[in-house]
Amino acid sequence: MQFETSLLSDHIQVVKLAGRLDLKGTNEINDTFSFTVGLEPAPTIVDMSEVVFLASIGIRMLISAARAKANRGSKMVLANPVPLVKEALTTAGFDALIPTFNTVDEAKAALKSE
Amino acid sequence: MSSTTLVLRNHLDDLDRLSDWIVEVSEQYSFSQKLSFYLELVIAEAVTNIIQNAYLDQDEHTIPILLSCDDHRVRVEIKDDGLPFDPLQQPEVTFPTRLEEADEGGLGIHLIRSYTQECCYRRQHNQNVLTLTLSKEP
Repeated sequence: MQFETSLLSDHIQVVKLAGRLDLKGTNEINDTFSFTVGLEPAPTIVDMSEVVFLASIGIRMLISAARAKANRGSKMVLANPVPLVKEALTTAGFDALIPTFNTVDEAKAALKSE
Repeated sequence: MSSTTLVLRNHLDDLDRLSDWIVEVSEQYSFSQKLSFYLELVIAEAVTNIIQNAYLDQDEHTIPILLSCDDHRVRVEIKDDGLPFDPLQQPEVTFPTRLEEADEGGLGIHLIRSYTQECCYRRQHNQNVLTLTLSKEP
């Protein structure tokens, strides 16, 4: 499981995840992901376009990071999950808690308009 | 009805073997990408729960997983010799309306219930037996 981080000129953090958010993949990045997202005061877009599998442990990681972000007065959103991953988020009932957009650009536009 | 079996050990690292097996089985039975995803998800959730909660000792245990299918359905039977535990007795999760209320407990069981047509549990010969049935065309 890999991720890369970039900070856009309009002060939005984009974290791109790639791989499987199963038990192993989540454990590989959980601490670093939480640290990277949590410490950044700017809003975060998590680009999910290359996440091919999502289990409950991965959902928990995302929820935990989103919650930590909200507690600091900021926001985390998701962008471009593949259909089966999006379905897992919806089935878990968490799609309503973490706004999800079809593209990173849509997510950026939504965050800028807030 | 054709069938195949994978025997995992009670180590979280063994879940890698589950992923590989799902790929093989999916090719063998021509499962759709969607069905593969569903299968791996429900089995991984069940097995993770077993590995993390079923045993009081540090001994090695086996978790046999029998997959069988016919023209319309795929059935997965997961056995373990851990503590008696019926995961289906866990209460249904309540969908939170706010992030602060989100409680991730029970999420694995919820996903299993949601992605299967049928799931049932029995205790047999000192083993937990969880049987999950999925439609071949989810």
